[in-house]
Parts: sequence; structure tokens; C-alpha cells
Amino acid sequence: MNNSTLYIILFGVFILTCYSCEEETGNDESNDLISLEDIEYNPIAFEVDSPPGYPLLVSPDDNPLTEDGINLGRHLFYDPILSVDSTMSCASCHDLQLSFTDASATSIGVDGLSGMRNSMSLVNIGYNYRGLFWDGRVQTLEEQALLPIEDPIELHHSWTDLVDQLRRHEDYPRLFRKAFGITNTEGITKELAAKAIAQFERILISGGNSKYNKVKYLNTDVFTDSELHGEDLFIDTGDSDVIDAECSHCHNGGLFMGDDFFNNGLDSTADYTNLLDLGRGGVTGFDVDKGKFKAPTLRNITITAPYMHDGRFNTLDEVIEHYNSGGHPAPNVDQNIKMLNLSDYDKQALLDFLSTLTDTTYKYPELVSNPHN
Amino acid sequence: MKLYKHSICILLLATLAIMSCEDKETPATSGLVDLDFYAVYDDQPLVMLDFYPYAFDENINFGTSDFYFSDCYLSDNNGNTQQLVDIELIDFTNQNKDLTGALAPISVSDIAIEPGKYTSLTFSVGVNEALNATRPEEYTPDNPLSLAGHYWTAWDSYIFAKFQGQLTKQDSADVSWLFHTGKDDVFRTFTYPIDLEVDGNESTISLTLDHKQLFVLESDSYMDIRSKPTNHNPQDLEPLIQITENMEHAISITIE
Ligand code: HEC
Ligand code: HEC
Repeated sequence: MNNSTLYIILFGVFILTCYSCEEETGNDESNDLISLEDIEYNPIAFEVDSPPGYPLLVSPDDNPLTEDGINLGRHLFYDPILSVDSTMSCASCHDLQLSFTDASATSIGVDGLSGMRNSMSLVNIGYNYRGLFWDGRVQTLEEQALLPIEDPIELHHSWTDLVDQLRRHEDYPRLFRKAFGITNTEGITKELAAKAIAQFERILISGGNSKYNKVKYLNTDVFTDSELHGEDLFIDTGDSDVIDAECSHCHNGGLFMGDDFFNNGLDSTADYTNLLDLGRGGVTGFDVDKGKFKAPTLRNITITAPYMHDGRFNTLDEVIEHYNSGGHPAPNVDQNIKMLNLSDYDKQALLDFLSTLTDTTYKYPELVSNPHN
Repeated sequence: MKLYKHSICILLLATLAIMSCEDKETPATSGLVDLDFYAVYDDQPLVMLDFYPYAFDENINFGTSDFYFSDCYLSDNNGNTQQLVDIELIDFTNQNKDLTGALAPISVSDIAIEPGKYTSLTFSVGVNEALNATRPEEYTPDNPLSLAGHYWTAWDSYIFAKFQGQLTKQDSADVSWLFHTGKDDVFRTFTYPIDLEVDGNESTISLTLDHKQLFVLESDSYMDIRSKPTNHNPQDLEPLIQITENMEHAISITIE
């Protein structure tokens, strides 16, 4: 290496050093900048203990769960500051009492406008790795949490304004500092807000106290005859005396949820042009995906009415009747949707089995409720 | 202090320079292999939901086609083997949604392998006994074995392959058919003679699954799907074994 190369390198290092110094002293142009370095930043990792039979809970590498991250997310999730007129928060459409749904067929946003879709339960949402929303258009909770804030049919705020409000807020600068170690209020960004909300959502985990869990994993309860028959119908056991209702083809695993998108025969269509909601097809553009939707978790299904992406069914009886009828024809209706010929006893049994999936307890009850109350 | 910083800088650079020299000196003999999977029906690219002529004056389509491809390796004449794939779900359902997708392969790319003259390719269809004793919840979401939709609780087995679609004699579909395979008894391993010399080049091994051949019977006739259109029954493995064994000849291999 000759001398001139060495000088070039030394010069480079010098520039870099100067540059990093500038960053540390901060940007003097912003008058509102408040240093947060006096507040303790001591992140404590939060280890999740999933109920038996659940998948592994995996957070993105750049957003590990911490106690303070979850706490910040919880404050944001429940805070009406998220909406343009400070009247609504995430919790307005994702209500703890309703397994984080909202009881309306299609959710109504801050401007009184409603979309085409039914609010989805957020219980056990951290275990959803194959697409969020009814159409799977978003992959991670971090990406998802950015969207409701500006959506005109939801919170209709602007991130620029919201971030500004958060920076000036009396509590949030401290909460962001503790969660993410930011050095001053400028460090508060929409990305960090979304990360915190995502962390909070990941710990919305059922307590593992459903009757199903008690029977299957805790051995503290037994199914009634009807529930047992319902399970046989739902999860085909190969027993030829029992009708195979084919449910578990699409609602499977510990969460009774699909890892793909299906057309379960809700609407008749020959060429998809009459569909009001293209579902997965609206995202991918492929005909074969039109009218396909995520097969959501059936955990807590008794408390998340109304049902389906547009909330068209008010009761589980209607849902079961839909499947029993074989649904409506469309070219891409799944082969597992067919006329079932269920007796009244079978239908009741299916309902009884689905009811065993309800669990109103939470793994971390002290962390899920509204902290502003 | 200043001097200290500079020495670190120079040391770093020197290391970098040495590392890059080393790279150049490595003999370029190991190779890269791509495994490309294509789905066809009787030599035509298979597009989901398009109908193709089947036997018995039937037309058939596919709405779902996927299978676990596992324990794939190359062997040479001296018994040396090179692992290519541990396990992957080959998912034509999500690849062959239109003609463009059907013409493009599902690719497992850039597998580094030792130089050599390989004479056979071996792989299995399904999930081997050891892995089949595990369950989806034991795997992180990036692992194909984490897919709960490919595990059948009532069988205590992964679903090795899913083939589903419709059969029609007129213009409109009138029978749905479905075969989901699984259980250890259905697991099959196939070995194909190949001629692949790896000497630093990139090679592509293409595996093309002819979906019509899934249903061929020994006498070169075809399964009467309409008479028994559904099977995911562990008590009746015969048709599932037939389809799995048919995959050996339904898959053709070319090397470039
Ligand atoms: C106005 C009502 C409303 C508000 C406010 C709202 N949501 Fe939702 N949420 C919905 C609806 C409706 C859907 C389904 C939308 C779709 O599929 O397009 C949904 C879907 C979701 C999903 C996907 C769930 C799944 O199973 O895929 C997540 C996660 C979510 N919301 C989180 C949030 C968070 C976080 C906030 C606050 C930042 C929020 N929501 C605010 C109505 C709302
Ligand atoms: C072919 C796959 C498939 C099969 C089989 C299937 N489902 Fe579904 N299920 C879905 C999809 C997809 C949705 C969401 C559809 C939509 O909203 O457009 C759904 C929705 C539901 C819902 C409403 C969920 C909610 O949060 O609104 C219930 C309840 C339900 N299914 C129960 C069952 C039962 C019981 C069976 C068996 C009789 C069954 N499913 C069989 C795919 C399936």
C-alpha cells in the first residue's frame, strides 16, 4: 500500500468521525427536541410461554419482545390519540370483551364510514405467519399496524400529525425511550410505534383454559357425547359411520386456522365478475384466487359473531347450515365444500364442539386490558 | 490514540486484501446446482383450473397440486453422495396460477456441491419416518414442516401430497375429486440414472411432473376417478400408494 492510499483512507475516517459527531450532538434546527437520555433504558426480554399444541411464536429479528415494548404497544393500541378526532383506537374495532372483534358485520370507522369487511379477532394473532387480513395482503404485524391510522374507513389520521402529537405528549416520549432506547423525542417514529403495537399483539395469547385444552392437554375434563361426535365430524377420523364434514382440511393445527386461502362457497359465480369482494384475487390479480379468503382461527368463535369476511352470518347455526348445504358454485370452490347431509344431531354436535374452543382467559391477563382506565 | 485508530484501519484493510486474494486463489471446482420443478399435463403446461382431456371421455382439472420433496441427493459410482435438498414443499397450486406461472419453474437454487461425476439422483416423495413422527408446532414458520394444513391429526401423519380438482363430461364441472396421501406406508423413494459432471459449472436439474401419469394403472389404462373421486382415508391406502408410486414415472428428469 503506498502513502497516497493511506492518506485517502485516513481522510475518509476523519470525515466519518466528524459526521458521526454531528449526529450525536443532534440537529439544532429542531427547537422541540427534548433529550431523553436521563430516563433509564433497560430492556428486559419477554419470554412467551405458548399453550400446548400452539405453533412456535416467532418475532422478527429486529423486533424482539421486551416488557417495555409491550407496554408501549398496549398504551398505543388503546389510545384514541390514534384517530383524527381522538375518538377511536384500535380497541374500538378490536374489543377485548369480544375476543378483539367488534360485533358489527362490517366495521365503522371514525368518519362513520364502513368498509366491506368484518373485524378480525386478534387473539393468538402472533401465530399468523401466512398473511394478515381476510385477503392476506400484509405479511407482518409491524406492516399491518401502520395501516389503520391513515385508512379513511378506520382511524383516518395522518402519521405525520400523530408522530408530532406523540413527540409532544407528556407520557409517550418516556415510554418510547424505555421501549427502544431513543435518545431524544425526534427518535419517535411511526415505525417504532408500529413495532410496539406488534409486540403487544403478539402477547394476546389465549390462556389455554378452553374446554378443548382441558380435555386434550390438561386431562381435567372430558367431552360430552355430543362434543365428541362433533369432533369426529370436524376432524375426520376415518370412521365410516360418521359423516366427514371436512372442516379440518381448512381450519387446522392448534389454532384451527388455515395456512392458505380458500373459496368456501359463499357466492355463486361463473366468472368472478359479480363478486363484491375479490378477496385474495384482489391482491394477486389471478382469477383462480378470486373469492378466496383466509380461513380464520376458530378459537373463541362463539364470541366473535357475526361471521365471514363480510359478517353475513349472525350465528354459528347459519354457518353450519351454509357448510351443510354445500355452498354456492364457483369454478374455484374447494373440493372439501360439498353437501354434507348433516342431521340435527350432527349440527348440534358440531356447534357443541366449536364451543369447546372458547377461552375467555389470557396467558398474560395483567397485560391485555386498557391501561388508560 | 490517533495512531491506534490508524493501525486498526490499516490492519482491517490488509485483512480485507488478503481475504480477497484468498478468494481468487480457491480452485473453482465445486459447482452450483439448481433444481427446477415444472408441472405439465400430457406435455402441456399445467394451469390451475384449466381442463385437460382425461380417459373415459372425461375432462379433468387441478385446483390443488403439491407434494413434499425430501432427502434428495446425487451419487457417484464410488458411493459418494451429495445432499441437495433436505425437505421442500413443491407447491404448484401457488405457482401455476396462469400460463406464465406454469412456464416458470419452482426453483431450489444455487445448491453448492463438490466436483464429481454423478450418476444417479435420489429423492423421496413425502416425509420420512423420523420427521413424520414430529409435528408442525415443533418448527419455525420458515420450515415447510411447520404447515399445519399439511398435517392430518387424525392420521398422526403429514399430508405428503395433495391433488384436487374437478372432472366433467360436459362443459361444466360435475364431480370434485381429491387425493391426499400420507402415513409412513405411503412414503416412497425413487432413484434415477443421470449423467452430471460438476466441474465448477452451474447445472440445472429439471424435474417435470406429468399430472396425467399420476392416475395411470399398470395396464396403461387410467384410474376411474369418477367412480371413487375422494380419498384421504388411512384405512384405504391402495389408491394413495398407486398415485405415489406413479410419481416415479410421472416425473421426468433433464439436465442442462
Ligand atoms: C374501524 C375499525 C378498525 C380499526 C379502528 C382497526 N381495525 Fe384492525 N381490522 C378491522 C377490519 C375490518 C379488519 C379486516 C380488514 C380486511 O381484511 O381488509 C381488521 C384486521 C386487522 C388485523 C388482521 C387480523 C388477521 O387475522 O389477519 C390486525 C392485525 C388488525 N386489524 C390490527 C389493528 C390495529 C393494530 C389497529 C390500530 C392501529 C386496528 N386494527 C384498528 C377493523 C379495524
Ligand atoms: C375449503 C376450506 C374450508 C372448509 C372445508 C371449511 N372452512 Fe370454514 N372457513 C373457510 C374460509 C376461507 C373462511 C372465511 C371465508 C370468508 O369469510 O369469505 C371460513 C370461515 C369459517 C367460519 C367463520 C369465521 C369467522 O371468524 O368469521 C366458521 C365458523 C367456519 N368457517 C367453520 C367451519 C366449519 C364448522 C367447517 C366444517 C363444517 C368449515 N368451516 C369448513 C374455509 C373452510
